[in-house]
Amino acid sequence: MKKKSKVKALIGDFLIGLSIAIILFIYYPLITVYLFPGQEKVINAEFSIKIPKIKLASPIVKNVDATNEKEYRAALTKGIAHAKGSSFPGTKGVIFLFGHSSDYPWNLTRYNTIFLRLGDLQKNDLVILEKDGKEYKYKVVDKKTVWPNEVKYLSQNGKTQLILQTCTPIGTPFQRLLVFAEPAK
Amino acid sequence: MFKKLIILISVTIIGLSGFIKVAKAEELVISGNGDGSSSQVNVNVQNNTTITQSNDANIQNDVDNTANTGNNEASNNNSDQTSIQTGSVDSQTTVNNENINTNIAESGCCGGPSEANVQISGNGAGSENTVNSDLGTNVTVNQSNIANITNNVTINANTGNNTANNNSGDVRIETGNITAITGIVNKNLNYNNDPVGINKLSYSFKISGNGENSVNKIDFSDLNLVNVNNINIINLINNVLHDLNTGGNSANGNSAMVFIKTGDIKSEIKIENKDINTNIAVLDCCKDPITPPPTPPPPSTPPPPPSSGGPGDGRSDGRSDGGSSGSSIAQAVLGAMLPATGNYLTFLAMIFATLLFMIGIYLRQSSGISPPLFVKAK
Repeated sequence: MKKKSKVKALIGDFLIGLSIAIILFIYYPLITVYLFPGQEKVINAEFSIKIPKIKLASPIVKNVDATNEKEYRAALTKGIAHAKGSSFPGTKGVIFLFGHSSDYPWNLTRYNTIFLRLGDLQKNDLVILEKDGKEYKYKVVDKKTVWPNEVKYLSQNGKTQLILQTCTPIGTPFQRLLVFAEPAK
Repeated sequence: MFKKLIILISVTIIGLSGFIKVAKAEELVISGNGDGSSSQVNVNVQNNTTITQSNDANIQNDVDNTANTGNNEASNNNSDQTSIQTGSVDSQTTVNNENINTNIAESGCCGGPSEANVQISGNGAGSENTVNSDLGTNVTVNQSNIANITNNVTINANTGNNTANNNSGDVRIETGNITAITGIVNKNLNYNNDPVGINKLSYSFKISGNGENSVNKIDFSDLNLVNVNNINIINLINNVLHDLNTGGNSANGNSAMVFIKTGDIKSEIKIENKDINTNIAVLDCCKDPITPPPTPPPPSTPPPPPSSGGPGDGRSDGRSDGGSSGSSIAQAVLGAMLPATGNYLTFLAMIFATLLFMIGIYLRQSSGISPPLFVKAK
């Protein structure tokens, strides 16, 4: 009877330990991002993004088909995706970039927290795009949480605009967070 | 008895087709120019279309219906029995106001693809070649509908007010049965249907085979604007009065038994106001996705040519990353969903971990061993 209780207690301890390990594994990126924010990395890429406020620096994968999930999921393992058909810095029109805020738990610690803190951006925060060695500065003007089918915000309205997108709430693809920025004057 | 009055129906249907026409098969080619030449093509095609539709309708329907089988009198009779029996007034009125002020503005959407082909090729070294093409469509639809409709229906029915006084025998007054049904239907008033569309356009751009140090530039814009303005005003008044009566019967001063029986009034008023001020504006733009400018082969020998000063991404050699300043971003995503950059598995993993934790706590508590195994009790 006493042995049975000991086995029960051992299994209980094991499950408690395992659950804590899983939670730490899942939230390790969040903990590091918020508690121990590092310095911006120097990115050597033809096309890249830097957001000083959230210490973000990442290469951008150009011309990714935003309607092809397989293609953009592959691209997102390499950085932030630039939607095929959208504009590039220095040209008129909308530049549409999207990145992960979360993904499969086993991928989380590697590359899936790029846009984790996108929601922290406020009006007038700086977003820098670098392309072919030239720097383009944008200032945040607005942000919106929308449903996945609300693509109207991406319609051309004659403005030159940068739109950054990620999923929200963190850990779900429930809604989309859109951050709008315009060229800094 | 029925007084049918005026039903004015004003229906205006203006069908317009093909009011948005953009230059078809636009072809702009600069080719075969010699070394050091300078060529420029400017094209500006703007289509402005304004459709104005205005309807006024003033309608008044007056129905005054009077029926009477009552007001009967049987008095001062000496017979054993005096009887007044009446009933059955049946009055039915229907007023129909339908399809008043209808506007349909149609365009020739998808009437056939138009093309714009822009090509700069085969020009000599050091040449400067520029194509400026500005296409635009501006469609304005103004629709205004005013409907003043008044429906007045008055039904007076009476089988009552019967009198049987001072009779020596039995008196029997029996009445009933009035049925008055009035139906008013106001339907499809001020209806606008505006399936405004824009013709299909396909674009192709080509810069290729030009000589060294040539400066080639294509500025192309296609802006389509559609404004639909609808003003609908309806003043709709429905007045229905059913004045029905089987009562007011009197039998006084009679020396024998008096029997008065009445009942049966059925009045049904039905007013249906349906589809009033309906605007349907469908912007059915059937554009093909823009074919992005292809990446022409790089010049055979460096150095790169001087900057043309036009908009670009810092390069002036005609190379492109496939980006577009047109409406392609909307088309890249529109009709689909915004890309999913999250996954429910993280959330599910969190729930799973919480469950494990709860089970662990439960097992630990139910084992009866406390403090934990690894801490020896003193």
